[in-house]
Amino acid sequence: MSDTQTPQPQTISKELLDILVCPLSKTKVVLSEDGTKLLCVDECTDPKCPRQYPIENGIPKMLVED
Amino acid sequence: MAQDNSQEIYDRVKGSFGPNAHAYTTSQGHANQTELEKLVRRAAPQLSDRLLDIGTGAGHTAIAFAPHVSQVIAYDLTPQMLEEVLVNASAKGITNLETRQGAAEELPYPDASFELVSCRLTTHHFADLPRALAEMARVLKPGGRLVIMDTSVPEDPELDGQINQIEVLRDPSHVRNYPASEWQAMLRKVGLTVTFVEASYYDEGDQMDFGAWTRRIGTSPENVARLEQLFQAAGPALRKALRIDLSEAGKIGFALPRITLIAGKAA
Repeated sequence: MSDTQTPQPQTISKELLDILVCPLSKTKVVLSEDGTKLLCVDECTDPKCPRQYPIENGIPKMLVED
Repeated sequence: MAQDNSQEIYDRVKGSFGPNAHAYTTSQGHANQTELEKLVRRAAPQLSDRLLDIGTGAGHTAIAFAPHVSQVIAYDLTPQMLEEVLVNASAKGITNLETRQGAAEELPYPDASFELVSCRLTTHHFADLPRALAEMARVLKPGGRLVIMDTSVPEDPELDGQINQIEVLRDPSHVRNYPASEWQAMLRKVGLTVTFVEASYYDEGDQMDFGAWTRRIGTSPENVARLEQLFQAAGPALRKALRIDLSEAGKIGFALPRITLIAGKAA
């Protein structure tokens, strides 16, 4: 990133939020009540799934890390 | 995880690109507008298309496509790159682009979500390219197109090994450049039909600048020295393959083989 510019947190459109799924099980994720993370639904049974994916600086982090 | 060592590769990619994110906004080769416009024309996007740009880096490809499609998702493993994308998109007045962080091998999208998937100058970092390509094919809608552009290697196994060795010395997060035959076989395997292939050179204009190439990714001084030795001692075949030019004292000129492919999913 440049020294002089800081990005504004992006606004997440509902349409592009609605198509997000768990990267492991491909089951639906839903926005948490406080809007800070995406939660996996009960249908996701992948043992490696972290069950929730944080939204950091407006960027959904759909990453499974060890 | 895609492979046993994929987390290690993800960490190396983030380690290479996180601190150097802004260098990819200004990189002449990555930001080459003529090449980007040519790529967009070849992909023939429709205004109603939704595009997923995987390994978006500083977002050059995502931003080039944005005015020609309805929505763009700029997707990358490295959060600093995605912040760079938002700055760059905003500077160009792009309003139909959003970013998502994730791995190419595990796409967070249902089947048949995109008319277009693009991947430019990035597949050589993927931990498991066959798996990433299977994911790309999966998220393409029937009739959709995958657009790939990346550095490549000649078919000769010796040159393949030598060039990939050079790339790893320059950037430890480099996984592999693939020859055209391997590309075509991998795309066929995931059920895509290759409709366009072009071999050319990634040359950042007239010639690549060795200094800028190693500085951009923060190559260690020891590896810069080893690379200089390798370029200077290169045999005729490698000199030809990389168009190595040592005619100017103190300067190493060269170019990397590049491949562009477009592959379609049956309607």
